[in-house]
Amino acid sequence: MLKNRKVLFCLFAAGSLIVSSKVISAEDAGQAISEEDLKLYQSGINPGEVFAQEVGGALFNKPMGTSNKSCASCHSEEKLKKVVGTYPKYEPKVNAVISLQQRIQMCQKLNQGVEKPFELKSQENTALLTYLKYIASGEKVNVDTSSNPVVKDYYNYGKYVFELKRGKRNLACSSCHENAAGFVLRMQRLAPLGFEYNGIKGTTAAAHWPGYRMTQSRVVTIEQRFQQCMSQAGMKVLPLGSKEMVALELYVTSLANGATIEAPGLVR
Amino acid sequence: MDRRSFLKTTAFATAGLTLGGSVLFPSNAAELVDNPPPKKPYEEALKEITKGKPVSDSDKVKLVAPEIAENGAVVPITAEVELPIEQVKAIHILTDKNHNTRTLSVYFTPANGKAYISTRIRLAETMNVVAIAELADGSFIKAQKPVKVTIGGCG
Amino acid sequence: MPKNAMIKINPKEYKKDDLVRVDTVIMHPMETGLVKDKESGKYIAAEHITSVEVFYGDEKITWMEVSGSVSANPFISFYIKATKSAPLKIVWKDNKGDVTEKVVDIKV
Repeated sequence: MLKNRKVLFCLFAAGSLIVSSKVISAEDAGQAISEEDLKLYQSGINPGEVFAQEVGGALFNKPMGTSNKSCASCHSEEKLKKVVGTYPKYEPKVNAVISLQQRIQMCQKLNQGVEKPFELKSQENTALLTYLKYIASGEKVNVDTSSNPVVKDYYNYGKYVFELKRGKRNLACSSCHENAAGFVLRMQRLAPLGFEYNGIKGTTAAAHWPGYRMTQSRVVTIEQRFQQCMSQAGMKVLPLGSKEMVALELYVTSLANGATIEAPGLVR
Repeated sequence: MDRRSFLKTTAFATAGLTLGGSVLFPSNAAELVDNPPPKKPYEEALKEITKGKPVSDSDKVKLVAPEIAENGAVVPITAEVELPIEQVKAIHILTDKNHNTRTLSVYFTPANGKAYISTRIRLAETMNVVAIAELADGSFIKAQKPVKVTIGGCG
Repeated sequence: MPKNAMIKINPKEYKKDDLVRVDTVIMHPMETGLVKDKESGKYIAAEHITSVEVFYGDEKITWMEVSGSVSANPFISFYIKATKSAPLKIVWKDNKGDVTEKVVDIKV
């Protein structure tokens, strides 16, 4: 009996020795990028700033459409920067909540007389959005979530989309950004998207999007980031500008209400 | 949400979205070639720089790099040589497991005031970043740091 | 076609003979030549900055050899001693012969 146990023990010990050399230690598994390391990224110039100024700024000042007017010819930047933080916002002309990207499209079509406004996924629309968010840096995020039934509907729908488990991994946005907040996923800490959740500090994400995504070497909008997240999490990707996406953008932006806009951000 | 109402809401999103080519970024097909550029392993890059002269570790070379890089595409590094600028000819940054390990060489003159370089580099995998200072007297000193490159949290 | 670039001097206010840090960014894809095109199996040709030259007035004061293992839209930062009022010109060249120049005035 004892002999069998000894053999079993030896086999077990040998087995675990072999296994442990391939398995990462608990220490390594929980290791996350440190605050000092993250600070190293913050010094220097964010390439997104060059994109905002040179590309976005150029478009903002470029006469377009049948009107042959530029955005700048109608809009004073001093006034414009105050409204940036209120988007996504209710637009009476379409009786819906629209994103700032969609508002740019509306302006192009209705006021500049552009027959085909820049697509939501285009670098041009992203550049204009980035420029607007860039000049609004320093202002506060301030979206309305309750002033009329349409806005309320979008807000509630956005919260529903955020909390809906779907896709092959049965995950919701809230699975990682609320329930698992504070845990480490492949060396990065999962963070809430507002100010905090359950005592874990959040990133007030909407205040620093659009962001220059280092892994893609380009500026990405918040809705594009949602799509990339959804894809990674095994969920079907929602279309840009759809009611679901705008509602989700409204909800996630509302989590950052009161935060100071600092865009474009520098993100993975 | 049922399919019909879903499509209705996306109709607004797709209105006027039939812009053909990009105004700013005309899609020119990327030039394709048969072969990648030649490999330059660490030993070769080192020889190119030092011509076989010895390189000693020195605490006069200060290399700052993250312990864990948030992603391999953009890794912030800073190298500085704590010697009068007149004594420093160049700083060479090497990345010992990259395809081309000779990442960046910076040649100074006294007008720089300080032998300092800060940049963002690409690391294909976890490896050492090496900063080699070429001194005016022809000698070489270095510092190095291992940097862990992760897949990162969510893509 | 020259690319978009930006130069920032730190600190913004400085006096004669101060050491100032010159931060630069150029929007450049920095194609390494190692990325395979999925359809053809061929490689996307290398297209990256190969040299950076810094001129302070008429004098070339710094020069760099740059490889594809520097990140896209490269950020490069170095110091100069602000000895005189003169233009600081930075010239980026890539392996396709594209040249970008940007100038800031150093005023002491």
